[in-house]
Amino acid sequence: MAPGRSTVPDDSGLRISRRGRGLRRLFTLVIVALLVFALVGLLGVRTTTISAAGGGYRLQLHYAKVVRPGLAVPWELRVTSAGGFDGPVTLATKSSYLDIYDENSLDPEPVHATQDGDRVIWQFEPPAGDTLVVSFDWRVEPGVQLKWPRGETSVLDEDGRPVATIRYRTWVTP
Amino acid sequence: MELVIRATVIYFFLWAVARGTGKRELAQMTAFELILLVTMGDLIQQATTQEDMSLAGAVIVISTMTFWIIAFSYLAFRFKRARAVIDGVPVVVVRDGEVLPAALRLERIAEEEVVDAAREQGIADLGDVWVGVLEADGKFSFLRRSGQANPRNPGDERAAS
Repeated sequence: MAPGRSTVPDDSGLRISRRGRGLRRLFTLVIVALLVFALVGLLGVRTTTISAAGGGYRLQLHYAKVVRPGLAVPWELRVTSAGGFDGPVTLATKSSYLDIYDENSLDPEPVHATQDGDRVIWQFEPPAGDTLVVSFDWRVEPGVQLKWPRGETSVLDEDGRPVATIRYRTWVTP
Repeated sequence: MELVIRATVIYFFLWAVARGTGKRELAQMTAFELILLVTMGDLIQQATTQEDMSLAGAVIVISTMTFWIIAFSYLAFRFKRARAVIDGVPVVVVRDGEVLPAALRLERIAEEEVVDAAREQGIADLGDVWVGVLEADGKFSFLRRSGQANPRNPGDERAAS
């Protein structure tokens, strides 16, 4: 009769399993941490509203601070001038910031748009009230990731000099 | 380059998930469940991630599902009542060689399935069965009357004959 070959595992499996318990607990913590990060928007999409003032203008921007590739995100700028606007409103935005987006449309349509170095300059008809609301319908380019571009939007005076500027930054997750 | 990095990240993340969830969840996955999961994964992808094709989105979705697997596993381990809900309970379908029709109706099982399962386990006659159980994972187990050899072990089968 051939010598028996036991199929019963020895105790080493239990010892190894005990050693792995710590790693499994760490893994659970990592999963919970990822979920918490996701729930608070650290993995995107996280939006915020910031404001700035200068030259008689108040700028308020609602935008996405953290985004994921391919997703539609908000960008809405409110330019307020107490007493209304005398003439066309000219805004300049860093074009390198706009590069991360796939733009569908800008609302309202600017009457005039030009490029000046790293700036895109839009000219809008003055609104009826004292606030001009400009918003983009866009989504983050699917191929863009791990980028943290700085954005900067200014109201320009008649000579093209910025009189009120709002600065922001968007983190694009992988 | 980018695809390699993305695939590598996903591979190691899934490996960590497979290792981290423990043996139990993997051992319970039958071939049918695997096919169902793969098919369902394709079908529910759009509903889950919608237009989100990002790596972060995939990590979030997998983390969420893993969290629930671990949470349910813990609940089933910690609370008996939760275990009954999450994993189900074993049901006796054969007792003293007699198939229990009420149990079969309840579980929507044909008597032939019980007979087939018994045959697969080397039982030629249901009369030899003391208790037949439909386990919570959907598999059958049969306990023979005492004194009978375990036909799964060919050595015992030969010794009994």
